[in-house]
Amino acid sequence: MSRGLFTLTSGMLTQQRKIEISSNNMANINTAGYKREQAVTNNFGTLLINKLRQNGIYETAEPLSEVSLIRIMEDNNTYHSQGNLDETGGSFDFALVGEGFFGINNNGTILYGRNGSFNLDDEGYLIFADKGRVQGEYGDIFIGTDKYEAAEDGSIYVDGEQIDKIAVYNFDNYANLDKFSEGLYTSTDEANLMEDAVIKKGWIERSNVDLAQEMSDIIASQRALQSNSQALKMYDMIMEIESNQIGRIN
Amino acid sequence: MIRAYYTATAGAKAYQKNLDVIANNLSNVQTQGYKALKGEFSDLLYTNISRTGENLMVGSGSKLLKTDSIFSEGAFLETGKETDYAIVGDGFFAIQKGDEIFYTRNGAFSVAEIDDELYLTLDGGFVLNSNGEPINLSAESEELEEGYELEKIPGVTKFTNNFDLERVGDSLFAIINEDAEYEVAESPDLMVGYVESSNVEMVSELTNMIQAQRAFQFNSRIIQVADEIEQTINTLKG
Repeated sequence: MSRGLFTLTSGMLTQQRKIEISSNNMANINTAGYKREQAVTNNFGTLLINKLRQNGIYETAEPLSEVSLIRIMEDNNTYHSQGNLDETGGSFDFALVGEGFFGINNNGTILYGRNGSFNLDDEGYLIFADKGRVQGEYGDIFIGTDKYEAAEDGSIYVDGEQIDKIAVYNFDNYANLDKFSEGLYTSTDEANLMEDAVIKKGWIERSNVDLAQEMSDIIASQRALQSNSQALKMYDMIMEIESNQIGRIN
Repeated sequence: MIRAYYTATAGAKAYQKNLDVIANNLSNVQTQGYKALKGEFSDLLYTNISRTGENLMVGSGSKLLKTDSIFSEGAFLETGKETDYAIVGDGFFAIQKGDEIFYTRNGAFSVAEIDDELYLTLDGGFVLNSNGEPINLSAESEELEEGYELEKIPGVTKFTNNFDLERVGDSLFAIINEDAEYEVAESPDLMVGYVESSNVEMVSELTNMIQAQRAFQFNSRIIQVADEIEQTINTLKG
């Protein structure tokens, strides 16, 4: 089988995966705290093509050129830039301005995320969906009411008295964050508590998806996939001639 | 079928539901005592689509995670009716229907004659006063001060956490959290002859509607792109 067939197939698979990543970005345009992802393609390395030459009883190899090996996209990067801030007026909505993550205690493990759309559970603690309680500097945050104030550094005041402060964590290296689900990450690295975090109550940070970029990426990928498939059809025609026409007598 | 197809479908469905929430808000822009709803999204499960053991996690779209009520105060409309009340600040009226008690901000009450007695009602339910009893307008009562008959004034119940209530329709809320803390205000702060209108902000709702429509449009474009790719693959041979 021609090497070219597999190279083209890998090209199509790569473009398909790129489109899958872009479509997830598009579907999450309005999701709170969502960070867009971008595909990373890289060459796997090259293979030397040699020309074998009969030299008496010896066979020598004469290097001809290089051919790139099969390459399929294997990695994607998350871009942690600030998303747009949207004023919702929600009683338990928080938005982070600048770097940092909220900490959610999910049965002992801390999950990190920027989605600040919280609620109170039945016992009055601040929670995120069904994932766990939001961590403050003294553990779980008990508010108990929806009439409270929050300062820009995350301190929570009920009846004028400070009860806790929302903890904001940061990492030295974002590359070790693993996606968990629903906008949350887990990390094996140690998280540092941020001193100068800015939190706005009643606001939500929307995604940082750039629509124009995603649309043009999708169009480029789709056309690349179509060109690959056209070249694939030509290979198919060549192989048909090889298998059916060559050596035919009549 | 390629994943992008399902991802974009999930996204389109989420925005369609968001549009339902926005449409409900807009249709209740004149409903007295209505509290606006807002929807929040989340992204979906991430799975590894790599075949060689490398970590390539790709998401599967988005969904409407939850809807929350916004308990801000609506504007007060002057009606001049003596049986119209508006609560200034926090709190709810208590309405008894059968054995259950519901709570509402809608103070447009009416007078009903039952067994030759006049009761203050809302939509077939009795309005309760600060003692938890149905208000009987034709009963004798002691005058407290300056003609202020406490037993004929609707009681105001204040909740520590308004989110212990859930909507049940007809501008009514019911308690869903058994451990909800609430107390009846001793001297309710009411305005007679006024009704509280809905707290829906037209501008926000229209902006959200445009956003939802555009997001829906982009997701359906992706569905089309996925379809064209399937077509390309399908015509590879034959």
